[in-house]
Amino acid sequence: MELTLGSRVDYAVRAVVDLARHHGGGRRKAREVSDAMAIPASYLPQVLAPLVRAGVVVSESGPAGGYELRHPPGEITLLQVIRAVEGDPSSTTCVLRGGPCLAGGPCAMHEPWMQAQEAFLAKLAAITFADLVADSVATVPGGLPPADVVVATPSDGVGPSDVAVSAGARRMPPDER
Amino acid sequence: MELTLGKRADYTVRAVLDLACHFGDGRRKADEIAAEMEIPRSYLPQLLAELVRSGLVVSVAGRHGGYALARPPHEVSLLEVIEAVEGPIASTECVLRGGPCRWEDACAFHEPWARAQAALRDSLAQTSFAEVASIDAVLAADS
Repeated sequence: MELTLGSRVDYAVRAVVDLARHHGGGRRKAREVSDAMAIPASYLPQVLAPLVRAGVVVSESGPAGGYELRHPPGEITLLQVIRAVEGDPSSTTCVLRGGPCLAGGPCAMHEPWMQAQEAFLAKLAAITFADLVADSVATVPGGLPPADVVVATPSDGVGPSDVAVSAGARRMPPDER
Repeated sequence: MELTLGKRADYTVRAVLDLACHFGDGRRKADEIAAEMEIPRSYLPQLLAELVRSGLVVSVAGRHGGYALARPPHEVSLLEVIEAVEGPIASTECVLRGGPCRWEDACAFHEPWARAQAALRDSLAQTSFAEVASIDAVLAADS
């Protein structure tokens, strides 16, 4: 079982890391962010828009415009950014699809799974972008590879991931694997 | 964002829940499990075979055969069952696909993500099928 994030969150985290690094140094141009973090320039607006909507990032248009963090990096958590892009974890949807869940009520797995999910999310909420920036001061010169070049592969002997951190209410269709 | 179990893990958890609910009552037929837990009849054998291979379930062939948990439900954790079909919850792979992980050796994201993953694992390891079965009994009584 492997937990992975999609490329949209990947790029969003990168963009916020860039803005966190330059926080207090004035607004960053979209071009600067995408160059520094190897985010496709055409994709960046889609990545930043949900962050602006969520109040994580402020955008100003015009010649002196650009992007910056609304709050100091120490006040922005990983969970906030993931949620801004992927939406809130649903607490009402049943884990076990359509199965033992009684109509209108939670299934037996609901509570245990929610607890596990909460434990997971609490850790993500405990990490701020100040932490991430401190841990990543040394970047490879020349920037990063595009996120879509290398796809995470399951470790040896492990089948395809069956646990997904997915956007919104999207679920894997039953026959996808 | 949503954490979901895939179809395979979902059905497997259901099958083990069924066996946990009937633990001590003799063996369960595949047909009974499939009907009770709404698991496609054709899909069930491969899931049960996986559980048998990992030692969580014992199967006996023949007229009086069937499936039973190899251990009491309180000794079977959610984590064991999920990992039996999904493989270990990996924390060595890069989360952000190909991206920031090329920053030096590990990306800044790696450690926090690994910690979050460990928390998820711990929580699943602490939950036994005896608990899940008792929740199930309460829910069934309420309905």
